[in-house]
Order: sequence, then C-alpha cells, then structure tokens
Amino acid sequence: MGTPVLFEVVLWQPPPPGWNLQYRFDFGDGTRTDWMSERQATHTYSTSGNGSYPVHVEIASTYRDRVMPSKTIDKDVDVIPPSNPTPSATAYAAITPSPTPITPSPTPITPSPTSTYTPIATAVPTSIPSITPIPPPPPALRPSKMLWLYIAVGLVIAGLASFIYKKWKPKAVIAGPLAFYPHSDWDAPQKPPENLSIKYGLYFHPNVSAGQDRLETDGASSILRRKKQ
Amino acid sequence: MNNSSLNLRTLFSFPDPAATAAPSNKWQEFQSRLGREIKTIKWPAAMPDLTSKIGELFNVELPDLLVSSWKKARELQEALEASRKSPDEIIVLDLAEHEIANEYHPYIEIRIAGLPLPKKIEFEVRIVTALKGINLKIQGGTITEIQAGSCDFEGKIKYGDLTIAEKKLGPIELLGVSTIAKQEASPTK
Repeated sequence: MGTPVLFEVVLWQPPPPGWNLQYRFDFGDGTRTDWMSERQATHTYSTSGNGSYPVHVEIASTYRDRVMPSKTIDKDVDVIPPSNPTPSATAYAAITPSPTPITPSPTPITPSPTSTYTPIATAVPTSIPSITPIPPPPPALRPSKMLWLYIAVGLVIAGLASFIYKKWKPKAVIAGPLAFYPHSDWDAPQKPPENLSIKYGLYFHPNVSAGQDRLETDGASSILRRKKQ
Repeated sequence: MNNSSLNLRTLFSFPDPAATAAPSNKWQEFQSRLGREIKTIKWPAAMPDLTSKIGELFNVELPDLLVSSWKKARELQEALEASRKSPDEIIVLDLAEHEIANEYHPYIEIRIAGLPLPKKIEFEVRIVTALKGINLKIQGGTITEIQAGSCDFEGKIKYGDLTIAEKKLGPIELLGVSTIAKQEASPTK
C-alpha cells in the first residue's frame, strides 16, 4: 500500500505479423487504464481495502483491422498494510499468458474462423502479483574475481589433461625409419653425418649357372675322340 | 687361371674406367641410355658411376664356361666318373672338333632403402666358341687343365635392343689353361 506496483502481461511469444494487441488494466480499486498497446501498467493502492484487490486485464486483438475475440486475465493482488516496512519504490508483478498455437489463414484478407491468435493468459503460480518485491538478481562478479575464476578453471583443466595423458599416453613405438643426428651446436653449419652406410646397394649377378649352353659336334661322331692314360 | 686374356671383360674389350681414351660409340650410347633410366631412380646418395662398374659383371673366365658345358656331355661325365674311382690316375681326353654356345643374362640389382622393388639392369650375353684340338687333363673326377687346343670366339652383349659389345676373335690358343679353381668353387651340375 502506498507503493507503486508494476503490472506486466508477459506473452509467451510475440504476436504474428498483422496482429495487434491492446491492453486495458482494471486494478480492482475502481481505477482502470484506457486501451493501450503497452503491456505494462503501474498503480499505487492508497488503501488496503479487504486485503486484496481483483486485478482484471482485458486483451483485445485485431487482425488487419478486423476485431478478433478478446481475452481477459483475472488475478487477486494482496495489499499489505503500511505498518510493514516498505522495501522498495517499485514492486513487480508478472501476468504470463500461456502459449497458444497460431494458425494463420491461407488468405490473410479473409481469415478463416480457425485462424485465431488468442493470447490466453494463465497466471503462473509463482508470479502472483504482490507488493512484496522480487529480490534483485545477485550482482555480477567483479572483473578481478572473474579473472581468478578463469585462471583456476584453466589450471584444473590443464591438470586433468596432464593426468589423462600420463595415464593413457600411447605406448606403441612409431614405426618407420627414424634417425636422429644430434648436433650440439645448432648454429654451426650442418653437414651430413659421416660413416653412414650408403643407402643403396649394387648387387652383381653374373648369372652364368642360370644360363643355357649347347655343345655340338659335327653330328657324326662323339665328342670324345680318344682317351689317353 | 693365369691367362687373363680369356676373361670376358677383356675379350669384349670393355673400356677401362681409368683409361683416358674415349669409349666407343656403342658404349657411349649405352651410357646415355643407362643414364636416362637411372634418372628415374630417386637416389638417396650420390649417384654411383654405374658404367664404370658394368665391367665387373663380366669378370667371367671363358674356360669356366667351357668346362661347365663339357661336364654336361654324357661321354665326359662317364670319363669323369671313371677318374673319380681312380683318383691317382691322370687321364687325357682328346675331344673332337665341337662348338659350344652359351647364353646367359647377368644383371645388376640396385636396391635402394625405402623402395620395395629393386631396379634391375639386365644384359644378354651370347657366346659361340668353336673348339679345335682340345685335350683335357682330368684327375680325381675333375678337369684340371686344358692341355692343348684353340678356339674361335664370337660373342655379343646386348642391353635391351642395344648391342653394346660384339666381338669375333680367333683363333685363341688354350694351351696349359688350368681349370681347377672354378670346379672347386662350384660342384658339377
């Protein structure tokens, strides 16, 4: 009581193109707003009344200047007497319509009876409008704290990676002819290592025994003419 | 084997790598072709001077080729078998005029680290030797010496379709040529 209360209609999804929504808030204490396109309204209750006020929100919708079915939201607002401390200047209440299937007409000029966009408003139990303010979100960490947090997370990840590598590092030797030639003086001009075996081989195969030969006489006599001892 | 002139390398007059004289046209053509072919090889070290080493492939003694062929003749096999039974007895075999044709394919294999298949440089050698008045001394089942005789030599070495050496020599005296070393090195086929 005596504190401005912010009322807001929360839509689950924005209205499709061509649709126009108008809102009118009735705060239950005899005051109400005009039709407006704003989804928010602020009101200050001067008396506590019976302890609560029935808040009534009308939502009128038009599609391309054609008036479509309207929707209402009713919600009771508890008003706390002024003997309680007033915590903040502005209280916040959210009225959340439930999601509604949208089926635009194939011919937008003459929408079919089923082509409706009905912002059904069903209050979320946790968002009961009241004067009790919603606690502000916790302040963001200061940059210096964030930096330390990043460093700590990085160290943890590095340690974890090192542990995994030591535990599961590949045991197999990489196959292939690898040769290392250590040079203690890297700046000195490097020359090929000496006393290395030549990487090619020449193999001489006279291949005589695998050859063919033919022994011929005149055909009339044996090769062995005479045997002397 | 003390008669070095009966080495095929000598008989075919392979150029001496140390010689200052220019090689023959055929030899130069062979060198050129070989150079082109081995250029396709990725040499891991300095390219060897192959042409200077080709001659090593023909360090084959002509009498060794002849002995190898003689030992395949049935009559000589029987004589050698008889000599084996009387190892102390020296037998001289007088051979009729005959001709021995040899064909074989020596090759140089180049194996390079990292290449799965060796490169093969293969030659074709054809030799025809016409022998006259040959007397073979045999002892202990082995032809130990060519005591007398002569031959006409005709040979050709080809690399692919390129004839790199062709020789026709004769008559060549085969007097007192020892043949023991070869036979001890390789058993009778």
